[in-house]
Amino acid sequence: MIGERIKKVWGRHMKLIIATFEIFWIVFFLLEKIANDTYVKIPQFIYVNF
Amino acid sequence: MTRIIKEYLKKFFVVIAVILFCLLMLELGLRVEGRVPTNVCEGEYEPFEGTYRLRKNFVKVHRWPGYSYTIYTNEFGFRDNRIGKRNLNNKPYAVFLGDSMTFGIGVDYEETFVGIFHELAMEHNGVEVLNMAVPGHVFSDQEKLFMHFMKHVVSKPSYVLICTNDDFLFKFQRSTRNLFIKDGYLLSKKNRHLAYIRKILSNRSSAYFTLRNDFKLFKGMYFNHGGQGMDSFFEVYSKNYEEKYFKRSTILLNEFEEFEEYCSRSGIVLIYLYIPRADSLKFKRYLELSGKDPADYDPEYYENLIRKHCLSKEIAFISLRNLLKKQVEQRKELRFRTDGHFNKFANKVIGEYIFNELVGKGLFHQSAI
Repeated sequence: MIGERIKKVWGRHMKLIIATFEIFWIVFFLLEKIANDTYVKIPQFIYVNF
Repeated sequence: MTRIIKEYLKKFFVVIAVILFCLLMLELGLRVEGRVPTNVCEGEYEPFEGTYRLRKNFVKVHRWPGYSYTIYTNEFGFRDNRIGKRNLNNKPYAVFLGDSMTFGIGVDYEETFVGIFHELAMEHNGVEVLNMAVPGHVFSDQEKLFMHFMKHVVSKPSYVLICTNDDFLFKFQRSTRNLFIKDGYLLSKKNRHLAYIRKILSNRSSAYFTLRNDFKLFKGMYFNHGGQGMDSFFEVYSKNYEEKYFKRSTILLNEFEEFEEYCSRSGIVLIYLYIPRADSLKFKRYLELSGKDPADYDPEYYENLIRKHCLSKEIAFISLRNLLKKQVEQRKELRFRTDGHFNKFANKVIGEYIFNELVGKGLFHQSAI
């Protein structure tokens, strides 16, 4: 029942599903790369972690 | 028209379902990789006499992208290397007062400068050490905590070391009325529900925790060119409010004087330390990068204020500016990349220096042996 429904949704919205999936992972890996590789010239002045 | 809306709604739900699926994949992937969330149900703070303090006998592991460290508090609710009792009866001991820099955010107790000092002091003359510093505390909060402690202990400390920095002195009148504590978490009263949900999410979900921190770094670099909190950083050193600062300075020094009188009456050796923040040592460079006029700022204002005060009152004063400046000139990194607190290296250098200075100046003479 659920499997058939998923199949139906997949058939109808395949392009949309693939595009969302790809965009999510591209955004995630870009954010990770930026966060890990780039040096901040002026650091973040955070002193108290409330 | 309704059919078109229905079709868009369907597409919207498909997108949401795919994002949720991706988040689930990310959550599993991060946990397999070892990037687990904090997984702590409660925070380390509790309300205390109109302000807040650390919970007693409490353990908390903090996991952040830049560092991980564990907080243990002893029977008094002060940061220590383990939970439980501290036997101070008939032993000389030193107390450190300060904020998050003295508390040692980002490193384990043994690696904090107070921890380094503690080890050296124990080896040298068996003097015990208590770290009363609490993140975000200003002098009045620390004074309350110290006075409360004095009512409940048999023996008084031999030494009190007040660790000052520009932020600690600038914010001395900061009110805690806007703060709210829920389940041990310190939250701002404004948006407290949202802030609490965020705390819970970052404690439970690796995906949320990772995405939030990556996004914060990204935002800081591309949408906030001066770095997060830059304006409040520069404001501390601004000369624009000279008159206001003069009044504030007088109130601050009066507050110190009351405490000094108490220490003098109790036979406690009081020592002021000035430990500049790592960022303030690169102040000129940051001013240039931000295009601000150096004539509008005085990065040594608070150091000079405390130095003059100590000189007039004949109280011991130790500044760590030259020591830390030398480290910066040798291109040594003193802070964490994503947080302005001192890293392990800086803590070690500071702890050793304070100890050597006290011994060298003959201030650290009492012995338990």
